[in-house]
Amino acid sequence: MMIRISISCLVCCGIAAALLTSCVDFDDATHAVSTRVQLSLPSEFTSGGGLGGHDITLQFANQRYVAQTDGEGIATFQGLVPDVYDISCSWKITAEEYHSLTGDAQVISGATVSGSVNQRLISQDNETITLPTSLSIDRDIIIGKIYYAGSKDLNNRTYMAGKYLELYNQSDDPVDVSGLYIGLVEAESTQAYTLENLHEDYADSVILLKQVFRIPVDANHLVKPGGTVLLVNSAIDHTPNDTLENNLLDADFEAKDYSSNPVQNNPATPALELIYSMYPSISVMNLVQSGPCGVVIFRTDDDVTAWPKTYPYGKTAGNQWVLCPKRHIIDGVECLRLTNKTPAVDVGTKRLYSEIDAGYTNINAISGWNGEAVYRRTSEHAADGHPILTDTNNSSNDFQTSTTIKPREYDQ
Amino acid sequence: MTNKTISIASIASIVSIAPIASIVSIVSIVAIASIASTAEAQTQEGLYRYQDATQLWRLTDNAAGLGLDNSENRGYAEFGLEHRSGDYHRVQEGGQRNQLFFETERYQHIGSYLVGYGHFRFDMDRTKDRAWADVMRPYDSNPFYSGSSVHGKYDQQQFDLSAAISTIAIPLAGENVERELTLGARLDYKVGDLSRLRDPRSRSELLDYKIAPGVTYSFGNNTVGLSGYYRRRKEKIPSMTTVQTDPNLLYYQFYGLGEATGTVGGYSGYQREWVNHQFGAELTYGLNLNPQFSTLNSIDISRGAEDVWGQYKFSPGRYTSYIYKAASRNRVGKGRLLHAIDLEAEWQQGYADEYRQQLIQEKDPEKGYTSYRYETQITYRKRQQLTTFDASLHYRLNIVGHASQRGNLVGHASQRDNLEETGTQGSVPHYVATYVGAKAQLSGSTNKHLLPSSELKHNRLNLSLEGGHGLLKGRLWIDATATYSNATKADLSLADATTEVAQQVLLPDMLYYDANYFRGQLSVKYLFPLKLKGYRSTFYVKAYGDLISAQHSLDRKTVGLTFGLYN
Repeated sequence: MMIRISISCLVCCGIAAALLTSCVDFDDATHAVSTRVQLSLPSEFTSGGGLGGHDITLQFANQRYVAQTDGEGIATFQGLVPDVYDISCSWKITAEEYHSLTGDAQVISGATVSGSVNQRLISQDNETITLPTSLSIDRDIIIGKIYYAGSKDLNNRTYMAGKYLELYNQSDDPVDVSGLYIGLVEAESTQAYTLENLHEDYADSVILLKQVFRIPVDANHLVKPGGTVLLVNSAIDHTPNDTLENNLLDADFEAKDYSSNPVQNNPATPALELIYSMYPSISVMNLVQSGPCGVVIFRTDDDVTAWPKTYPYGKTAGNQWVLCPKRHIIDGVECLRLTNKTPAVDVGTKRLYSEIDAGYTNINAISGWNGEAVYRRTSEHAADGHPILTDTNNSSNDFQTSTTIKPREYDQ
Repeated sequence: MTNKTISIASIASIVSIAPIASIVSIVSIVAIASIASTAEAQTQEGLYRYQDATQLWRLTDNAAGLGLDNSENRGYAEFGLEHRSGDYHRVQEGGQRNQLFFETERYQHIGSYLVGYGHFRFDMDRTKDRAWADVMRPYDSNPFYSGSSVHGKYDQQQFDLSAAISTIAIPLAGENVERELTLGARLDYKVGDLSRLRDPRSRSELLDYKIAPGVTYSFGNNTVGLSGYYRRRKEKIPSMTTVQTDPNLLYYQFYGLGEATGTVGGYSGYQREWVNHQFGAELTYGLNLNPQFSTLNSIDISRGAEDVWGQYKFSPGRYTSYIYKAASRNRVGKGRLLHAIDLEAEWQQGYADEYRQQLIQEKDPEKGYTSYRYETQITYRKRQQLTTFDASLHYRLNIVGHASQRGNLVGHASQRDNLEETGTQGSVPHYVATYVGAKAQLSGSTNKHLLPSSELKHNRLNLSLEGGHGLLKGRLWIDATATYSNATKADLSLADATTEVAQQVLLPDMLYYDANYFRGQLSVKYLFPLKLKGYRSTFYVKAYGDLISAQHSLDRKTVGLTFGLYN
């Protein structure tokens, strides 16, 4: 009997050992990679410009890696987690440097060199990626702040009346904003036109706007250096309704609500002109609390009401969006929607070309209602002390969020 | 080996009636009212324990072994309540739990040629103070799950049904050696539901079934068994709701060992399915020299591949697992002593491939229709790695009595019928009167996450002594177990120890893994005969308690009460 026991035990042990040795090999797991980013200077630079010493940023979600370029314009990243990164860089040049590097004698206050590559897959070891850059002359009027999240009021109901937009004068001189157009970018959950569709049908020449407003032209509206233009839907004090809301009594312009169930308007606040609204019943700024909520500002002498309009790609009926030529656009901010996927923001849903906004910003709530505003970081201060806001043509770098920032306020 | 034989020609009819017989078996399990066991209370418990101790095939996946176990028609049904409290628990398990359950099982001969087994259990419980896991399996499994950081109550219900059927031994044409065959199949079917009772309110639904056909082949005293199985487990969170929406409420999605993304309002539109397909096989070898010696040795290997799906077939990753098992169960009988020596080992290796995916939106230029799909940009091979092991050596010395010694079983008409059916006619039924035992168990787990690198390792050695005795001629059973558990390893290395998940889940859990503890379990079971509608059955009531007193001033207390009957 004992012999049989021993044999059976041996057989079992043998088979068990054979099974256990055929185990999973964990050595073929994905490993970290190294990559190099080669900086390419703007084509306008005719006399070099210095490739070394510039910070290149790789960002995925909250992971941010920064490396500096060497004399040949190469930034090397070691031990990088393979992923889909947004690559960007930017630096300021003075008016003198601009003249020297480009040979262009036009009068400017300064310029920004910036470059970005969105959603670049980095998974190969020792790969070299070229980062092209472009040159943009610093703008006077920019979009400084957007409050589109809304909040929950004291009765835990959604509160939308306190949404606003704010423009900011970066320059050292007063700027007249009368006649400036504000366009709200197409924001359907199913994109009416993707960038690929726009490329196919319009050769990247236009963007889609769902609403267009204009600052009245009946009088000059000068904005002093460091001054702001506050555009609201309801110019009242919203703070009694929720602590996250603001007092908008001093707003510069109000989009009047002509709907059957209007938000409270302030007769003392001048009206923002409604030029076009895709929705016949909505006359206020339709800032979508969850995003997307892209905004552009532009100037044109054209009759905007005569600009062509389009149905969604491939359709011949339904809502229509204004086709706004991108050459008129002064500034644009891409506000994308946060999702519960990874990555949390789908850059594939961008509506604005990288020449308008190479990146994007977003609030940190999927549905909104958390009282967050997106606003520009402060990069430096002008001679008179007013903040110069970050404007690298990349909202991923330029914008941040806050629930406490107030209208007309910026970080010092 | 064989007690009744059938001809080869009757196999076809057996196979054809198997599904019907299976249903009949299930029905018989729940039809408690029709139960007519008249065995006396004094030995019923001991008889049940003896058969549990000696019928080894029931411990395997191979349903065909039912036909070799020679089980009498036996079963029980019980209803119980249990209360658990204390702070010796992991964060994602929750704290206090109140549970109600109903459980029944039955071994039943069906006609002359089939043996059936059925088991049913219903659990309903409420767990308090649970967080960070809205799924039923947050530990040592698929890392792509989700949960809320807000502690809350969870209600859970589970229906667990098993049904197995087997032929009795079918003789094959033999030469010198007697050769026999049994065929069997088993179905395990479980449905469940885990509901969170606080915002954000998730409801995780479970469907888990396993189909396992098996065969045994006996020659002389030797038996070889082979069974294969397919198991499909699907857990699903179809949608989530909120009652009082907090605009800043975070919802977390996990990617393995501290890697998690918390998103404000992340529950909005969230949906997930975890679908696992597992294939496995078990090879068994048995030697039966009853009553002196019997042994049953088995090895089992299985592979599972679990997909995770979201909207538009979004997938954060895929979890693959390999489970290896080996067991050797041995019984040595000598006079009134029955030695039970069980060795069991289970080793699991798992890994999760993580995907980075991009939503592709495609528009039909003709019709304007929009379609969505996700495209995988990167696959992180084996980013989450898991190894678990569990090995135990269990020895139990049973002191066996003969039912005739108490003069209360042999001679009873219905019991005689059973004996005739199961072929034990002429033999005297045995029962366990007393037992003592000892068990050593070594278990552990290693979870590893790469890029960035984090690792959790914990091992534990449990040493137990146990004993039980039937007093008052077997009407009052007392069982006791004392365990000392030594946490031999508890190491946590995190890439970022400042995250919410690290601070609120992983680091607090280290107290649990690191604590040595003493555990005492005591159960008192009283059996009494009761006549209902002319049928006399053995009922019982059992009270039990379980106390864990651990290091770091942790403890866990469990008390329970069950009421049941043998049928």
